[in-house]
Amino acid sequence: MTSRAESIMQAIVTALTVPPMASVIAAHVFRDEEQAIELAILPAVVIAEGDEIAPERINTRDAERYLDITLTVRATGAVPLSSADPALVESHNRIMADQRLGGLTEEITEGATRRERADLNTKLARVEKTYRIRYRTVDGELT
Amino acid sequence: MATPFASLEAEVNAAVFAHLANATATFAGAVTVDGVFDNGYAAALEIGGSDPTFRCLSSDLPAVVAGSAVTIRSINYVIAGPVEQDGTGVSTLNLRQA
Repeated sequence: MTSRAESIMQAIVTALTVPPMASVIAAHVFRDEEQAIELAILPAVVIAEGDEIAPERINTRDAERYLDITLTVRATGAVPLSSADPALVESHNRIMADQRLGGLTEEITEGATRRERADLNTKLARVEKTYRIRYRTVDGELT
Repeated sequence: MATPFASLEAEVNAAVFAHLANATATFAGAVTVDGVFDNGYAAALEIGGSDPTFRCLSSDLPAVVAGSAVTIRSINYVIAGPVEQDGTGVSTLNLRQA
């Protein structure tokens, strides 16, 4: 059986890849940060799940849960943060387009954004954007 | 008048680059300078790449600044950042692929 959190992550990957984004090809949308560390594949997007705080029991049957996720966009270019921007905007729009994710979630809330740049033999940028996903399950169940 | 050690330093630098130069840099498509080119592995933001540098005698360098074009081993680079002079007559250029 698949946890609701995993189902949510899979739904987000689908949202980011079907149909393919104009800024990042579907094959360069990853679930694991380690898969997006080759210069040759940039721009790339990573969507990764983070922690969950303790669930809140909201009635005799249901629990409300909060899943933190991070969208990371990696890009290279003459102005690398600018190069990352199309993928950031397109990914964000796809994530926020259906905040119920087909009924898997109650709400997706946008969080902080962090931008970094660095130099190698080319210029790099990494933009991390966080989201908090509120969803419900039967109390005591992860699915 | 140069002090004895300064003269020795200049001789050693000249000998080092005469014998150990491994690449010729072409600046602005015209001026060529022999020097030591390094392009070892480096990583930043967890991305693997390389960190190209070119060291040569400062006296051989034409007037270059950050952003100046240079070609080494048929690859076009630009100088990333200021020219680093070590004070003994050797300069290091940090490079980035153009």
